Amino acid sequence: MKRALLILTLGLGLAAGGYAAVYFAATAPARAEMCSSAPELAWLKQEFSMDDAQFAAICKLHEAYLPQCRERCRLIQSKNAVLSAKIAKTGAVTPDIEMEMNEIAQLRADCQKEMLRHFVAVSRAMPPQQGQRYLDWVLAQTFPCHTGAAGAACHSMDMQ
Amino acid sequence: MNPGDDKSLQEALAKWKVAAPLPPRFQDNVWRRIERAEAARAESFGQLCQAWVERLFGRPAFALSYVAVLLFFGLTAGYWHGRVDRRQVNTQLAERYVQTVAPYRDIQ
Repeated sequence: MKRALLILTLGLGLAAGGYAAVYFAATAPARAEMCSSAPELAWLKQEFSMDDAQFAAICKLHEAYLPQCRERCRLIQSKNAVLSAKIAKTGAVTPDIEMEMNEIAQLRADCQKEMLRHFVAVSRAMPPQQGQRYLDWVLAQTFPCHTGAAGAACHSMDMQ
Repeated sequence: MNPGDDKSLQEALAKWKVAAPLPPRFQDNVWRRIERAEAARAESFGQLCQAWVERLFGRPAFALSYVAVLLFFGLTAGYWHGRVDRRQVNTQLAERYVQTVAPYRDIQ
C-alpha cells in the first residue's frame, strides 16, 4: 500500500508542480510589465517588439506629449463648465453660447490634431511593420469613425 | 423416505414444548453478534479496495500512465490559465495606454 500511496502522491505533486511552473512562466512577462514604473509603456514595448533604443525614443515622445495633452484636457473641461453654466442661465442659443461652442470644437480639433501627430511620431519610432500595426490599432481606439486600412482594423485587432 | 411424510414424527414435534429458559441477556447478545458481522463485512470491502489499488499500482505500466496523465493535465491547465490571465493583463494595459494618450475621450 505504501508504494501505491507514493505513486498517487507523486502524480498529484507532479501535476501541481507542472501547473505552477507553466503558469508562472506564461505570466512572467505580464508580471514584469505590471511591476515597471509605466506598465502601459512596458506593454507597448513588448506588444510592438521594440528594442531598448526605440523604447527610449518612445518614452521621450510620451513624456513630452502628456503635459500638453493634460493642459488641453483641462481647457476643454473648463470651457465645457462655462458653456453648461451659460446654457443653464439663459436657456437659449445665444451668440455668446455659439461662440463658446465654436471655441470648444476648435479646442477638440486641436487636441485631435496633436494626438494624431503624436501617434504618427510614435509609429515612426517603431520598426516599420510594427509602426503601421500600432497606427492602425491606436487610430481604431481613438478615432473609431476613421476610414481606410486602419478603419478595417477597427474591429479585427486582437491583442495577444 | 422423506421425514415430512412420517406422521408419527410430525405429531411428536407438534407436541414438543421447550421448557428451558433463555440464557441471560440473550437479545443483547444477538444484536451484538449482528453488529460484529456487519462491521466485519465493511472492513472486508475496504480491504478489497486496498488490495485492488495495490494491484493496480503494482503494474508499472499503469503507474507510469497515471503519473504521465496527471502531469499532462497539470501542464495544460497551467498553460491555459496563464494564457487567459496574460491576455486579460494585456487588454487592461492596452486600455490604460489609450486612456493615457487620449483622455479627452471621457470628457466629451
